[in-house]
Amino acid sequence: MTDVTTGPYEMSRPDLAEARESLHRLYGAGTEQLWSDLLRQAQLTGRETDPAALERLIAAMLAADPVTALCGRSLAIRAATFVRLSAVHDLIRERERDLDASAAVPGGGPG
Amino acid sequence: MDRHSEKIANLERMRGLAAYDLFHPGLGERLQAICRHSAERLGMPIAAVQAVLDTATATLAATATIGASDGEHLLVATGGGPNEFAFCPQVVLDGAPFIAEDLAQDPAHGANPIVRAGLIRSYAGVPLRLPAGHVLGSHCVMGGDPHAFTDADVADLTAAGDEVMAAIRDYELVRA
Repeated sequence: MTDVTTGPYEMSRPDLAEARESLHRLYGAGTEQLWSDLLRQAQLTGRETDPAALERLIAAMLAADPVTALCGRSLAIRAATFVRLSAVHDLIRERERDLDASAAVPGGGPG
Repeated sequence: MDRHSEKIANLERMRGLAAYDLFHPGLGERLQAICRHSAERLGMPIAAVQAVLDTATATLAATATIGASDGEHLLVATGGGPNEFAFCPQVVLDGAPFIAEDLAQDPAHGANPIVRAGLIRSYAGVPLRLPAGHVLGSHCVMGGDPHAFTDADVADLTAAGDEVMAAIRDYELVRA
Protein backbone atom coordinates (compact mmCIF):
# COMPACT_ATOMS: atom_id res chain seq x y z
CA MET A 1 0.00 0.00 0.00
CA THR A 2 1.31 3.46 -0.87
CA ASP A 3 2.23 5.23 2.36
CA VAL A 4 2.49 8.78 1.16
CA THR A 5 0.55 11.93 1.86
CA THR A 6 0.11 12.78 -1.80
CA GLY A 7 -1.42 9.96 -3.80
CA PRO A 8 -2.32 9.33 -7.41
CA TYR A 9 -4.53 11.75 -9.35
CA GLU A 10 -3.35 14.57 -7.10
CA MET A 11 -5.53 13.41 -4.25
CA SER A 12 -4.04 13.83 -0.81
CA ARG A 13 -4.63 11.35 1.96
CA PRO A 14 -7.39 12.95 4.06
CA ASP A 15 -6.14 13.96 7.50
CA LEU A 16 -7.18 16.00 10.52
CA ALA A 17 -6.10 19.23 8.85
CA GLU A 18 -8.38 18.55 5.87
CA ALA A 19 -11.22 17.67 8.23
CA ARG A 20 -10.82 20.91 10.15
CA GLU A 21 -10.60 22.93 6.93
CA SER A 22 -13.78 21.32 5.61
CA LEU A 23 -15.67 22.08 8.82
CA HIS A 24 -14.41 25.65 8.83
CA ARG A 25 -15.62 26.13 5.26
CA LEU A 26 -19.07 25.09 6.38
CA TYR A 27 -19.39 26.53 9.88
CA GLY A 28 -17.03 29.51 9.71
CA ALA A 29 -16.35 31.05 13.11
CA GLY A 30 -18.46 28.41 14.82
CA THR A 31 -15.92 25.73 14.00
CA GLU A 32 -13.56 26.16 16.97
CA GLN A 33 -15.92 24.94 19.69
CA LEU A 34 -17.14 22.09 17.48
CA TRP A 35 -13.54 21.11 16.69
CA SER A 36 -12.60 21.06 20.37
CA ASP A 37 -15.63 18.91 21.17
CA LEU A 38 -14.85 16.46 18.36
CA LEU A 39 -11.20 16.13 19.41
CA ARG A 40 -12.25 15.49 23.00
CA GLN A 41 -14.77 12.85 21.90
CA ALA A 42 -12.13 11.18 19.73
CA GLN A 43 -9.44 11.55 22.42
CA LEU A 44 -7.12 13.35 20.00
CA THR A 45 -4.86 16.38 20.39
CA GLY A 46 -5.42 17.58 16.80
CA ARG A 47 -1.73 17.19 15.96
CA GLU A 48 -1.94 13.53 14.92
CA THR A 49 -1.27 12.77 11.27
CA ASP A 50 -1.90 9.03 11.07
CA PRO A 51 -4.92 7.40 9.33
CA ALA A 52 -6.07 5.87 12.63
CA ALA A 53 -6.54 9.36 14.07
CA LEU A 54 -8.75 10.30 11.13
CA GLU A 55 -10.81 7.16 11.67
CA ARG A 56 -11.41 8.16 15.29
CA LEU A 57 -12.34 11.68 14.27
CA ILE A 58 -14.76 10.35 11.64
CA ALA A 59 -16.40 8.15 14.28
CA ALA A 60 -16.85 11.21 16.51
CA MET A 61 -18.28 13.20 13.60
CA LEU A 62 -20.75 10.45 12.70
CA ALA A 63 -22.01 10.54 16.30
CA ALA A 64 -22.34 14.34 16.35
CA ASP A 65 -25.19 16.55 15.05
CA PRO A 66 -26.74 15.53 11.69
CA VAL A 67 -24.84 18.07 9.56
CA THR A 68 -21.47 17.18 11.12
CA ALA A 69 -22.37 13.51 10.63
CA LEU A 70 -22.80 14.15 6.89
CA CYS A 71 -19.38 15.82 6.86
CA GLY A 72 -18.03 12.70 8.55
CA ARG A 73 -19.51 10.58 5.77
CA SER A 74 -17.80 12.84 3.24
CA LEU A 75 -14.45 12.31 4.91
CA ALA A 76 -15.00 8.55 5.13
CA ILE A 77 -15.77 8.42 1.38
CA ARG A 78 -12.66 10.47 0.59
CA ALA A 79 -10.47 8.26 2.80
CA ALA A 80 -11.86 5.06 1.23
CA THR A 81 -11.30 6.46 -2.26
CA PHE A 82 -7.70 7.33 -1.43
CA VAL A 83 -7.05 3.78 -0.23
CA ARG A 84 -8.60 2.32 -3.41
CA LEU A 85 -6.66 4.66 -5.69
CA SER A 86 -3.42 3.91 -3.85
CA ALA A 87 -4.00 0.18 -4.26
CA VAL A 88 -4.59 0.60 -8.01
CA HIS A 89 -1.55 2.87 -8.25
CA ASP A 90 0.61 0.25 -6.48
CA LEU A 91 -0.68 -2.48 -8.77
CA ILE A 92 0.20 -0.47 -11.88
CA ARG A 93 3.68 0.35 -10.52
CA GLU A 94 4.25 -3.32 -9.69
CA ARG A 95 3.35 -4.40 -13.22
CA GLU A 96 5.60 -1.68 -14.66
CA ARG A 97 8.50 -2.97 -12.52
CA ASP A 98 7.81 -6.54 -13.68
CA LEU A 99 7.84 -5.43 -17.31
CA ASP A 100 11.07 -3.48 -16.79
CA ALA A 101 12.72 -6.47 -15.11
CA SER A 102 11.55 -8.76 -17.89
CA ALA A 103 12.93 -6.42 -20.56
CA ALA A 104 16.30 -6.24 -18.73
CA VAL A 105 16.82 -10.02 -18.90
CA PRO A 106 18.56 -11.10 -22.15
CA GLY A 107 15.96 -12.74 -24.27
CA GLY A 108 13.24 -11.52 -21.93
CA GLY A 109 10.30 -9.27 -22.67
CA PRO A 110 7.61 -9.59 -25.25
CA GLY A 111 8.70 -11.26 -28.40
CA MET B 1 -14.90 20.35 -10.41
CA ASP B 2 -14.29 22.90 -7.65
CA ARG B 3 -14.67 20.91 -4.47
CA HIS B 4 -14.51 24.13 -2.49
CA SER B 5 -17.57 25.67 -4.09
CA GLU B 6 -19.63 27.69 -1.62
CA LYS B 7 -22.73 26.48 -3.41
CA ILE B 8 -21.88 22.89 -2.46
CA ALA B 9 -20.27 23.38 0.97
CA ASN B 10 -23.23 25.50 2.02
CA LEU B 11 -24.53 25.20 5.58
CA GLU B 12 -28.19 25.79 4.69
CA ARG B 13 -28.04 23.20 1.91
CA MET B 14 -26.36 20.70 4.23
CA ARG B 15 -29.03 21.35 6.89
CA GLY B 16 -31.60 20.55 4.21
CA LEU B 17 -29.90 17.21 3.48
CA ALA B 18 -29.59 16.44 7.19
CA ALA B 19 -33.36 16.74 7.61
CA TYR B 20 -33.78 13.33 5.95
CA ASP B 21 -32.69 9.81 6.87
CA LEU B 22 -30.88 9.48 3.55
CA PHE B 23 -29.09 6.25 4.40
CA HIS B 24 -32.11 4.32 5.72
CA PRO B 25 -32.17 0.81 4.16
CA GLY B 26 -35.88 1.10 3.38
CA LEU B 27 -35.29 4.29 1.42
CA GLY B 28 -32.40 2.63 -0.36
CA GLU B 29 -34.67 -0.19 -1.55
CA ARG B 30 -37.24 2.26 -2.93
CA LEU B 31 -34.55 4.28 -4.69
CA GLN B 32 -33.02 1.10 -6.07
CA ALA B 33 -36.30 0.24 -7.79
CA ILE B 34 -36.45 3.71 -9.35
CA CYS B 35 -32.83 3.33 -10.53
CA ARG B 36 -33.59 -0.03 -12.18
CA HIS B 37 -36.53 1.51 -14.04
CA SER B 38 -34.50 4.52 -15.19
CA ALA B 39 -31.62 2.34 -16.43
CA GLU B 40 -34.03 0.16 -18.39
CA ARG B 41 -36.10 3.07 -19.74
CA LEU B 42 -33.05 5.00 -20.96
CA GLY B 43 -31.10 1.91 -22.01
CA MET B 44 -28.08 2.84 -19.89
CA PRO B 45 -25.75 0.51 -17.93
CA ILE B 46 -25.81 2.53 -14.70
CA ALA B 47 -28.47 4.52 -12.87
CA ALA B 48 -27.92 6.14 -9.49
CA VAL B 49 -29.29 8.47 -6.85
CA GLN B 50 -26.47 10.50 -5.38
CA ALA B 51 -26.40 13.00 -2.55
CA VAL B 52 -23.76 15.67 -2.95
CA LEU B 53 -22.25 16.29 0.50
CA ASP B 54 -19.75 19.02 1.38
CA THR B 55 -16.65 17.34 -0.08
CA ALA B 56 -17.84 13.97 -1.40
CA THR B 57 -20.76 12.48 -3.30
CA ALA B 58 -22.58 9.63 -1.57
CA THR B 59 -24.44 6.99 -3.55
CA LEU B 60 -27.86 6.43 -1.96
CA ALA B 61 -28.80 3.78 -4.53
CA ALA B 62 -27.34 2.52 -7.76
CA THR B 63 -27.84 -0.25 -10.24
CA ALA B 64 -25.74 -1.75 -13.00
CA THR B 65 -27.72 -3.58 -15.66
CA ILE B 66 -26.95 -6.99 -17.12
CA GLY B 67 -24.31 -6.35 -19.73
CA ALA B 68 -22.60 -3.59 -17.79
CA SER B 69 -18.82 -3.77 -17.92
CA ASP B 70 -16.65 -4.73 -14.94
CA GLY B 71 -15.64 -1.09 -14.59
CA GLU B 72 -19.27 0.02 -14.53
CA HIS B 73 -20.07 -2.59 -11.87
CA LEU B 74 -17.04 -1.38 -9.89
CA LEU B 75 -18.29 2.22 -9.93
CA VAL B 76 -21.69 1.13 -8.63
CA ALA B 77 -20.05 -0.80 -5.79
CA THR B 78 -17.86 2.04 -4.51
CA GLY B 79 -20.58 3.93 -2.63
CA GLY B 80 -19.48 7.37 -3.81
CA GLY B 81 -16.38 9.42 -4.38
CA PRO B 82 -14.75 12.80 -3.87
CA ASN B 83 -16.71 15.69 -5.38
CA GLU B 84 -13.85 16.57 -7.70
CA PHE B 85 -14.13 13.10 -9.32
CA ALA B 86 -17.95 13.04 -9.48
CA PHE B 87 -20.37 14.43 -12.07
CA CYS B 88 -23.42 15.03 -9.87
CA PRO B 89 -21.85 18.10 -8.19
CA GLN B 90 -22.18 19.76 -11.61
CA VAL B 91 -25.96 19.39 -11.28
CA VAL B 92 -25.84 21.08 -7.86
CA LEU B 93 -23.68 23.90 -9.20
CA ASP B 94 -25.93 24.46 -12.23
CA GLY B 95 -29.23 23.81 -10.44
CA ALA B 96 -30.27 22.24 -13.74
CA PRO B 97 -29.84 18.97 -15.66
CA PHE B 98 -26.30 18.17 -16.75
CA ILE B 99 -26.27 16.18 -19.97
CA ALA B 100 -23.01 14.98 -21.52
CA GLU B 101 -23.06 12.84 -24.65
CA ASP B 102 -19.28 12.40 -24.43
CA LEU B 103 -17.53 13.51 -21.26
CA ALA B 104 -14.14 13.11 -22.97
CA GLN B 105 -15.08 16.11 -25.11
CA ASP B 106 -16.38 18.14 -22.15
CA PRO B 107 -13.92 20.90 -21.17
CA ALA B 108 -14.83 20.66 -17.46
CA HIS B 109 -14.73 16.87 -17.17
CA GLY B 110 -12.49 15.53 -19.96
CA ALA B 111 -9.47 15.35 -17.62
CA ASN B 112 -11.40 13.47 -14.93
CA PRO B 113 -9.47 10.23 -14.24
CA ILE B 114 -12.72 8.24 -14.40
CA VAL B 115 -13.29 9.57 -17.91
CA ARG B 116 -9.64 9.17 -18.96
CA ALA B 117 -9.71 5.57 -17.73
CA GLY B 118 -12.71 4.99 -20.01
CA LEU B 119 -14.99 3.95 -17.14
CA ILE B 120 -17.60 6.64 -17.81
CA ARG B 121 -18.11 8.54 -21.07
CA SER B 122 -21.78 9.55 -21.03
CA TYR B 123 -23.86 11.10 -18.25
CA ALA B 124 -27.32 12.55 -17.76
CA GLY B 125 -28.35 13.84 -14.33
CA VAL B 126 -31.31 15.85 -13.09
CA PRO B 127 -31.45 17.89 -9.88
CA LEU B 128 -33.16 16.56 -6.75
CA ARG B 129 -34.50 19.75 -5.23
CA LEU B 130 -35.18 20.21 -1.53
CA PRO B 131 -38.32 22.10 -0.43
CA ALA B 132 -36.24 25.20 0.41
CA GLY B 133 -34.82 25.24 -3.11
CA HIS B 134 -31.35 23.84 -2.55
CA VAL B 135 -30.29 20.87 -4.66
CA LEU B 136 -29.69 17.68 -2.66
CA GLY B 137 -27.99 15.82 -5.47
CA SER B 138 -28.92 14.08 -8.66
CA HIS B 139 -30.76 11.17 -10.19
CA CYS B 140 -28.56 10.12 -13.05
CA VAL B 141 -27.70 7.53 -15.67
CA MET B 142 -24.16 6.84 -16.90
CA GLY B 143 -22.35 4.61 -19.31
CA GLY B 144 -18.89 3.66 -20.50
CA ASP B 145 -19.62 4.67 -24.12
CA PRO B 146 -20.69 8.00 -25.65
CA HIS B 147 -24.48 8.22 -25.80
CA ALA B 148 -26.90 10.79 -27.24
CA PHE B 149 -29.78 11.63 -24.89
CA THR B 150 -33.12 12.80 -26.28
CA ASP B 151 -35.49 15.36 -24.78
CA ALA B 152 -37.78 12.43 -23.95
CA ASP B 153 -34.94 10.78 -22.02
CA VAL B 154 -34.43 13.91 -19.95
CA ALA B 155 -38.18 14.21 -19.36
CA ASP B 156 -38.34 10.59 -18.17
CA LEU B 157 -35.34 11.10 -15.91
CA THR B 158 -36.93 14.27 -14.49
CA ALA B 159 -40.16 12.36 -13.75
CA ALA B 160 -38.11 9.64 -12.04
CA GLY B 161 -36.32 12.37 -10.06
CA ASP B 162 -39.72 13.54 -8.80
CA GLU B 163 -40.38 9.97 -7.63
CA VAL B 164 -37.01 9.97 -5.88
CA MET B 165 -37.85 13.15 -3.98
CA ALA B 166 -41.28 11.80 -3.04
CA ALA B 167 -39.56 8.73 -1.54
CA ILE B 168 -36.98 10.88 0.28
CA ARG B 169 -39.71 13.10 1.74
CA ASP B 170 -41.19 9.98 3.38
CA TYR B 171 -37.96 9.70 5.36
CA GLU B 172 -37.94 13.19 6.84
CA LEU B 173 -36.52 13.11 10.35
CA VAL B 174 -38.80 14.36 13.11
CA ARG B 175 -37.18 17.28 14.88
CA ALA B 176 -36.94 16.92 18.67
